[in-house]
Amino acid sequence: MKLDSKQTGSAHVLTPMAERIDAASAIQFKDAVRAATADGADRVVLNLGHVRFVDSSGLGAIVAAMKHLGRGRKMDLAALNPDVDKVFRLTRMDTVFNIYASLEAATGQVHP
Amino acid sequence: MQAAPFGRRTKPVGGFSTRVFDGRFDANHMSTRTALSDIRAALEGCELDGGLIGRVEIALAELFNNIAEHAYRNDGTGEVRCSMGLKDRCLVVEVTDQGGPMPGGEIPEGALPNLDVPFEDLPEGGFGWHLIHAQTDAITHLRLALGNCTRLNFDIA
Repeated sequence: MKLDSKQTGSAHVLTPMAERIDAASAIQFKDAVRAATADGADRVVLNLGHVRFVDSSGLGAIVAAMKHLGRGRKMDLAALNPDVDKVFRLTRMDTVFNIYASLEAATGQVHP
Repeated sequence: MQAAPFGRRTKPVGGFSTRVFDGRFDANHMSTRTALSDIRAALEGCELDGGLIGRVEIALAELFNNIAEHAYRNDGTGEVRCSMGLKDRCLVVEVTDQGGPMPGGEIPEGALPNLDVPFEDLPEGGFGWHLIHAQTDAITHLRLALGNCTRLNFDIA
């Protein structure tokens, strides 16, 4: 899966260039995030602005990618569309991740 | 194993005021994606609202993936049949497969995995049936002589 990767302030912003993180793409997503975060900032913002659909396999892959960062680093989420946001709320994963309405809101939280 | 034809007991649901979709596809991840895309297009064609279409897409994605992974044990070749229609302010979806039975013969309750665990133990799966229950207004399941028939109802506001 193609991931756009850039540094914004002190956050490493990862943007999946895909409409779906689902059972068909969960493994590719995990591999791409692992490769992109092998080094870099302690705070990763996963920008889901292009993603229209996440199923439970995709959700599991996002959790796995966050766990792979380890305890010393964190992954926040930004720009979830209503259907994607609903999956996080219904599974209570919204209590595990910080979720921002937009990428700007997520990176604006970064203090110098 | 030779696939048995769908029997008379699995004929599509009748009595719809509007038939929305009727299709068959192989139980694997890529065919599921295509089917979900076709189903979304069919629902949009009926001018159903986006919230309902989103509910149907999530519930069916989970059900189709469960059929592929559990009923057909990931063999990639089992067939899924899905038909749906509108009936009395309700979207009725019937999904039939020729795979193995549900564990315990019944639809899982879909309890959420425990999130109150150490970071390393956060769950990476086990959400599927919870999502299906949360998106639907009724679920019925019938074990067939060879396969399963699961019916999902979505009330239309």
